[in-house]
Amino acid sequence: MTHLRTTIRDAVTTTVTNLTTTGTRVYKSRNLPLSAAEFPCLCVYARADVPEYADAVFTGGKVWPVRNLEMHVQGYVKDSDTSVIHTTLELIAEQVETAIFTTIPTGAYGVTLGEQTIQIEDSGDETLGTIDMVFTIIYRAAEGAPGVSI
Amino acid sequence: MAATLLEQISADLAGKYDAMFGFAETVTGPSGNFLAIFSNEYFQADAGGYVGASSSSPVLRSRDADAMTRGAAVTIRTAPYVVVEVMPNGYGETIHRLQKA
Repeated sequence: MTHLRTTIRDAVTTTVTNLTTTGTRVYKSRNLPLSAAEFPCLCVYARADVPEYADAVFTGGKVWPVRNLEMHVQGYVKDSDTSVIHTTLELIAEQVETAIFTTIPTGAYGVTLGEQTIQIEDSGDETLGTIDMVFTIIYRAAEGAPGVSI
Repeated sequence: MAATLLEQISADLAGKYDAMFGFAETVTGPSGNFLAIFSNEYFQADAGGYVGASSSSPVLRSRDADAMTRGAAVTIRTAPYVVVEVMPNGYGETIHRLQKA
């Protein structure tokens, strides 16, 4: 059975695909370096999953804690003009946040907004800019059965 | 009297910037053509994301007499670049860090 975390990560990836800024250049859990033809783009990561027992429910003989999944959606832009990079990263942030709060991911029942950080690196042949957007996706699954939602 | 180390280094530059037998090639800057040494090694850029970006680090080395200023346009092997940092080495050469124009 698929872990709900995988289901949610896939749903977030689908939600942020085909934005006008990044199109279909959306990569799940990307590890290999990005190449010139892949900008601007988004990379989607599920980085941490923290159970919370204060609001747990007990049903069907199982404990169902709330789980807070830390999703990172990172935008990458490469250009020779730093102001273009900042403007594009802000537009990406606007589109990603709007999309995620419009369509709550499958398997989840809530989303909260986390920190958003922009960083610039200008050592290469063009300037690289990134924005790291953190969203906490809230879902519930039983202890020992992370593929089943309540 | 023996030549100083600086004089010896300066004398060596003539051979280094020989277009036929040295390492230099002709590039075009704001004041016209001059001889310079170009390198463009692979560089993986990292701006704090979880993944890097394949890139390169273009650098142009010239004699001080041909040094350019920040923002100058230079054409190397038909590709346009702009000088983003000027770094004289104090021994008769200037290293220019470049970016794509």
